[in-house]
Amino acid sequence: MILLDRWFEGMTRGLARRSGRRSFLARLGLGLVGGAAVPLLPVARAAQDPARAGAAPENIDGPAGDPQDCEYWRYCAIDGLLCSCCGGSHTSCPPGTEMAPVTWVGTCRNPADGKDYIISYNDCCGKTFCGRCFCNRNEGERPAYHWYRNNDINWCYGTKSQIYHCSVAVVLGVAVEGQPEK
Amino acid sequence: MGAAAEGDITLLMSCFGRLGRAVACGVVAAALSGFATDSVGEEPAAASSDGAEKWGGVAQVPDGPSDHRVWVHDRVLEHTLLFDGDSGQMLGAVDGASGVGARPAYPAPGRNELYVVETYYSRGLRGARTDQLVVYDAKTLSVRAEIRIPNKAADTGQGIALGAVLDGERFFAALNQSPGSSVTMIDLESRELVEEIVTGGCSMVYPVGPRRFGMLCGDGTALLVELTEQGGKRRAVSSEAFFDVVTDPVTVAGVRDGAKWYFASFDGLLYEVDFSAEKPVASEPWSLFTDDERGAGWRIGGFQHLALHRSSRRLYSIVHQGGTGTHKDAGLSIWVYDLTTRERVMQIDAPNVLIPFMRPQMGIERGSLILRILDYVLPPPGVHTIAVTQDAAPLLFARNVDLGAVAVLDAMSGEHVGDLEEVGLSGTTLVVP
Amino acid sequence: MRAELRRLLLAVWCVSLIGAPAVAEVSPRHDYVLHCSGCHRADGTGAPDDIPSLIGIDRFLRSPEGRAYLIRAPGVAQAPVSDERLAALMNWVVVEFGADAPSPGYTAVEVGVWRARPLRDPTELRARLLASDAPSDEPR
Ligand code: HEC
Repeated sequence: MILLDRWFEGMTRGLARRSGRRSFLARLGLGLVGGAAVPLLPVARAAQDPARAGAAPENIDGPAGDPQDCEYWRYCAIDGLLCSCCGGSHTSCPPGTEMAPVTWVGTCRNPADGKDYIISYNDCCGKTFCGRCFCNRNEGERPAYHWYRNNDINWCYGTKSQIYHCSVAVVLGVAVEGQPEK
Repeated sequence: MGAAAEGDITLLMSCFGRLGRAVACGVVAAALSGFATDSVGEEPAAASSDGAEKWGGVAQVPDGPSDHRVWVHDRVLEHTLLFDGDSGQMLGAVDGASGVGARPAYPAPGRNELYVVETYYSRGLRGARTDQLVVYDAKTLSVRAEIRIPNKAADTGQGIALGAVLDGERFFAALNQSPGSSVTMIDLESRELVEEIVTGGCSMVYPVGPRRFGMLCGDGTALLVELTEQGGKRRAVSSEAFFDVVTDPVTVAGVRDGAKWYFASFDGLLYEVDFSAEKPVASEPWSLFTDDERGAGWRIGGFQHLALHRSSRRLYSIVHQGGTGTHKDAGLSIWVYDLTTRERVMQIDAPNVLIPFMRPQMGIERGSLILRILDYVLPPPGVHTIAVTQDAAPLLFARNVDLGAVAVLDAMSGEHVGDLEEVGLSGTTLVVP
Repeated sequence: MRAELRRLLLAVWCVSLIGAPAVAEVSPRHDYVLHCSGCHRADGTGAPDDIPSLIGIDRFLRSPEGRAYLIRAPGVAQAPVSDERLAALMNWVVVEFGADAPSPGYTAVEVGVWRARPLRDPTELRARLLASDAPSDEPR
């Protein structure tokens, strides 16, 4: 029964509440293996659980945020795999990858101080999908014809390789107001 | 479900580690999990007198009624699988090399061919990049030709409008985004690159004739590109601005009816854009939601979230309740509209695609009680993408991008009639040939 | 079409002499970071092959058509900011990454006129502008 409880909790947290946000790979772990899914489940969930995430740094530019968690404030319009779960951090690429110099920029509000910050969502390139901490949030995101704010595009431009690995979210400064699309 | 299943898992997991070689891996995994064991469309090999079967048979895509087929793309395993919606059988596969997003197969039934825009690297995942249009034989699913195109093919997770076979099947238009945008024109007859048409500020490709296609632009207009006999650019004309990119943009998941395309805005306004004249013209939009529904937070959303059954003029739209910024969220409902009366004629509950996703993994019998219990207790994840066949007894296919199963519905009654299982790991598109 | 464009170029140029150059309500640097730096980078250098460098961008100001080009370029014309802010932003961009300030400075009116005329083939016009280094016969 514990198994079923856990299963259920994972389902409701990850899937039903905001489908498409959580890791398809984590979910794959969930569904793929049936009986064997349950042992995998805590692994998938560790990333969401600051206490268990090991390196959960506190007070990163504001609230007690967990950069391995999709809900972390500065990921408000990220669509990809979080580099902080892939051997990098929320501001740096994992070893052996290259940060794309070309990217898109938007704003996210930091609940700690209520301010909007300008965020640069750079992709790390040169290795295949990291496959961890898939996160898809679209606050202020726009379709591809409005290229300033599109997160569907593989932004591995200006890099040696266009293979997408994961994404970071770097603060460029305080915004005087939220981006207009908000 | 013992060692064998664990074998499957390890295998699939190792696919993740080496995505580039996932194709080979996928084939093995497919063989292991059993869906490639029956060669569809082949007569069973006659056993010789000593009981040995004929060795070396290779199937072809069967002829016969093909109205209910669908191509299911997988962005992780980087290929597209062909399924029969009635039997649930897989009929074959074509590859599509590396990229984050949709690299679907575009069929040209008249030529008996399929096209895939590919990007690959000389050393698997490293080395020099090469982009090409790969031409597949639709019956043997083997490669007929490779046409080099500029190394700029758009790589995005969104939609099937990244390329198009234009009417008459003479030209293929492939979208580039680098991130400046352009369209590469390819002559399918001569198998040659025609030219690259720069289309600044516009994106996606919407075919509207043998030598015409439309695009959507960041200033709220639509663009019509007209081609010469040879498929080069003759002229490009913009419509008046009809939507606001900042306040209520349209999604790129349009649906086509002849020279008209329908686009829905984030807030649920439906625009009809007519590309048949000199200049594209957008109609006054109408709302897919009443004020009450909008007040209750109903919104459109997903990836390929609209589908149109042309002869009955039924428009299928995935909907959910949510706030701004939820335009890519899955929906638990599919609302059906009559485009002529602009009325909603049906509401379909999206089937719980978790069930057909889990069933083969858990080794549960089809139709068993435990499956029905799971269906009852597990919250449905909703669907992101739909497609409808165009025959008189149409099927509606629905998928959640992150689950390897596709639900099959009777498009007229909304009844859930079956599922396509083990369709892969993740993908945003469904293409009905 | 061509003649019409020339007339428009002239008219806008006249208007730009009267109107006051846009003054920023929000720091143009802020708008640059938020709307442009993702592609053109903070230092304006862009990325080889993909994104043109803005260094020396004032070279386009030598002709009225070039002056219009800087506003009609899709990344500029379609920026989600008002005409006023875009004019202020472009006046800043030209000085920050070029040498000479636009003279006269861009006004909201001028920017409004140009951004309403979408440039669907920026590559072709850009090549033409860069090729014709010869002084233009139109008024400066
Ligand atoms: C998504 C990427 C992107 C963004 C954002 C962007 N640009 Fe550009 N810009 C380009 C590309 C690509 C070109 C080359 C022409 C084309 O294809 O549109 C260009 C061309 C230009 C040019 C012409 C330069 C030349 O040498 O021809 C100027 C000036 C310019 N951009 C300024 C801006 C300003 C100012 C902003 C912000 C308001 C901006 N751009 C935002 C990608 C971008």
